[in-house]
Amino acid sequence: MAAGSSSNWVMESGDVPHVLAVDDNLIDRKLVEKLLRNSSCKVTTAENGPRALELLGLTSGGQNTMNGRSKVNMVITDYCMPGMTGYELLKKIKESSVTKEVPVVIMSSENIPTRINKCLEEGAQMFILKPLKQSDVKKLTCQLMN
Amino acid sequence: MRKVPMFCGPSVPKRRCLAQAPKDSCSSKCIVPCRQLKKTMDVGQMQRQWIDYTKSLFLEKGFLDGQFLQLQQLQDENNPDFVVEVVSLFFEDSERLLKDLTFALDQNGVDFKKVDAHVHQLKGSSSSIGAQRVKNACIAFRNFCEEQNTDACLRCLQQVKQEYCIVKNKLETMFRLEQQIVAAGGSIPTELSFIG
Repeated sequence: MAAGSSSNWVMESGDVPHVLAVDDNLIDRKLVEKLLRNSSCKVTTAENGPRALELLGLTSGGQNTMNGRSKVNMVITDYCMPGMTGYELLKKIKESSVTKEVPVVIMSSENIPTRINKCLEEGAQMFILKPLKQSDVKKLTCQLMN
Repeated sequence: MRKVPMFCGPSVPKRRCLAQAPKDSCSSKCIVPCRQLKKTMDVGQMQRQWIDYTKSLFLEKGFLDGQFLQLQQLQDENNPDFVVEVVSLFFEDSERLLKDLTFALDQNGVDFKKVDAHVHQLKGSSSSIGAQRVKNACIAFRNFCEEQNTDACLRCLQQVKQEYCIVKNKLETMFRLEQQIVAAGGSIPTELSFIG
């Protein structure tokens, strides 16, 4: 399940990873944000796919609104979201030459093998079951730093 | 040593309240603090009662599960109110969802997709904070949404509301106990090793 990474997305030593967390549930957003901060990540949250794409600079006519110095090193997204699902967001991220090397992690409360496989086949770095625990996030961020 | 009941709740008969006379009695929603409670309990006792109370929430009827412990472990000096903040968000969010559910099930043509979406949200947040019984009630609820069974859904909604009220009450009590401990100069025990 190793993610290929181009030099744009590889962490430089001493850098703090910047993670974009996407979830329509307010409580889950707050929780994932804290878990990531506890793992020394800088966190930006978004409540839906379109907003996430905007922040990644993937919307038409939009520029990277997080400014050149604040590249996103990983996206972690909920699967079940109204409108654009996490899977659809994953596809969009992987389709763009700008972002296709960004590791994308999918979270879901439902353990459905076909869903998991679909996401991994589309290039997801990892699939995590909710509710999220500190150990899950530590595993992720360790992978990110290597 | 005089046995000190730690708080009065709606379920505790008035005569067991620490207040000896009507004029210094607690209100009917009295939990803590009673004036006499403050005088007769020391920090150590309060801490032990907090542990007992918290333990009962996990072990007796599974109101809370291990996920709640995860939340507590996330609290630190930089975020000393993290648990209260997240739980408060949960209360607000849940109350909104319960209202939306009541409305949705009251319609002539019930939109079960919408109902299911709301229950899914509530299941998610209750699971994330460790409110196990609320989560389980939501799981049952979703099954009936799938069957498009209005009556069963209404019963499930009642069940979810009930479980929510109970866990809300329990958590508010826990927070009040914590406030008492902190006000008396103590700290909240971090040793919750009784959880398997």
